[in-house]
Amino acid sequence: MSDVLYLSIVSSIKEKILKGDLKPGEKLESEPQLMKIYDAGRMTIRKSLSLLSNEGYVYSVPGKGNYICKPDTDIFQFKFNKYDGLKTHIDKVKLLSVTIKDTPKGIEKKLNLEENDKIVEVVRLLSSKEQPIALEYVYFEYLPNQPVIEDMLKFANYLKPLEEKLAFVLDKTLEIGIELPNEELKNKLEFQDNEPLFKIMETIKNTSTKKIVQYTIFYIRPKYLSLKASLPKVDKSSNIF
Amino acid sequence: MDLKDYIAELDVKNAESKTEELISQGITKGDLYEQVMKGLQIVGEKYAKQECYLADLIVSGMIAKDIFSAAHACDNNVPEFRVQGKVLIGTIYEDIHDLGKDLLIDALKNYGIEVINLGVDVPVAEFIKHAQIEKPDIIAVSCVMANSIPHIKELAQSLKDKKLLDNTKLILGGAVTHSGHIDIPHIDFMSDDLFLGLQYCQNYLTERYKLEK
Ligand code: B12
Repeated sequence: MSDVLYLSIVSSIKEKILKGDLKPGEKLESEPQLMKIYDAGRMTIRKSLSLLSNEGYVYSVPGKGNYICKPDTDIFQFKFNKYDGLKTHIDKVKLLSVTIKDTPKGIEKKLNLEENDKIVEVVRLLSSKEQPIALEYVYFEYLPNQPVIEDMLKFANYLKPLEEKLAFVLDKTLEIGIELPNEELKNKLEFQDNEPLFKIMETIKNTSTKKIVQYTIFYIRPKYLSLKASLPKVDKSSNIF
Repeated sequence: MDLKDYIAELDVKNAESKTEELISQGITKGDLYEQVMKGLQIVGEKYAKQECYLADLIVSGMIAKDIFSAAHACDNNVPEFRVQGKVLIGTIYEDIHDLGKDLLIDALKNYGIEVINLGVDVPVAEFIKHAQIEKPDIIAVSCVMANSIPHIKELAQSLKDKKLLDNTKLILGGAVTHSGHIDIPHIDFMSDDLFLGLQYCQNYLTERYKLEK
């Protein structure tokens, strides 16, 4: 009986929040008041409040009481995968070059490397229906006696297994800009006009070793990519209704 | 340790200082090449035995290039070494291997020969265009991909048809020439040995510009 009760208290309070009867930042009734309103025991009320707090509707200030959360409306999230999240299907990935060089200026900071360290640069052209749509520059550290390039050539998305294994220590950041293409980009992407390109820079970092695993610059023509972001949704997997 | 050993160990720092030492002791170009090539060969053998990997092989090529440019910087002002002439070079279409090509470039530059490098994956039309603009004495093509052989044939035929070989030699190098079985029209010289290729260019250009004088 009390099981069902705590759930119905949760949905009742949630409804008040969603309807705006309870506003973000407002204080919720005290525990004894809630016990009276819902005719429930202290444990039941606490169970309801903890669920509401888990779902991000309320938070508690010890010694003061419970408050309605103020959702942050400036944080957006979007899903991004450069190989299968585009407006068109990539059917060909052409390897353009694999070079090892002294870390170029600008990149060394991104990769946390020293001046004398060497990096591998892999350039790939992605096409769809014979039309080149994106150019990708991948950088990672050269480590002697390790099959770093072999691993990369074997699988287009070779970091996937690593990402799955290290999901909790890998930290990824994206930086998105718009850039006018230089001659090299225009030639490789086979277009003449001064159409700006999306420049997407992705850094993958291993937070436990503090090493940058990989830094990628991805240039894509705007007509093949649209980015749609929304406010983060409450994690539905913990939702038991 | 010898220079070749430092290269084999991919020890950039020591390879550099050893090179400086050898150059200051007046090592001949032939001997320097031999050492570098031996070093590269050891790395190549290690790679074949899976004792090292692709990245290491590429780094060995990088070290070799650095050594050649150090040697180049040193005798830039020794006129008797200089050979006149212009070579247009590139790796053929659908082939992106550039280690061998880049070694040849440095070797040619070492003799003062002007080199125009078209890079890798060079389409036939691109070779033709630059052959017309630059009017090189030699067009050098590098190729290791068996699949790209048809493009070399097309290039050779096209150069011939456009009369771009009347006053220009066409040479081919890279691992595809290894078996010696490939049959390409209008080729003047073919080898997978860098030193032989270099000698060919040197001899041809020396003769040619001697006659002109
Ligand atoms: C290094 C390497 C790469 C590197 C190249 C890096 C770079 N920046 O060049 C990377 C990782 C990019 C690469 C990629 C690929 N590679 Co690869 N690669 C090799 C490898 C291991 C060594 C080649 C090399 O650089 N050798 C050292 C140089 C110095 O030798 P060289 O090029 O023959 O040059 C010498 C001479 O020939 C001569 N020379 C060269 N050019 C010229 C020109 C003239 C005019 C003259 C006179 C002389 C001359 O001078 C040099 C010194 O003596 C070979 C296997 C092997 N062990 O040989 C495979 C190999 C060449 N690759 C191969 C393949 C299949 C590929 C890939 C398709 C693999 C993939 N699945 O993605 C890709 C894409 C290739 C493409 N489209 O071009 C095959 C080719 C098969 C074939 N015969 O057709 C090989 C033989 C491997 C194999 N056994 O399968 N590769």
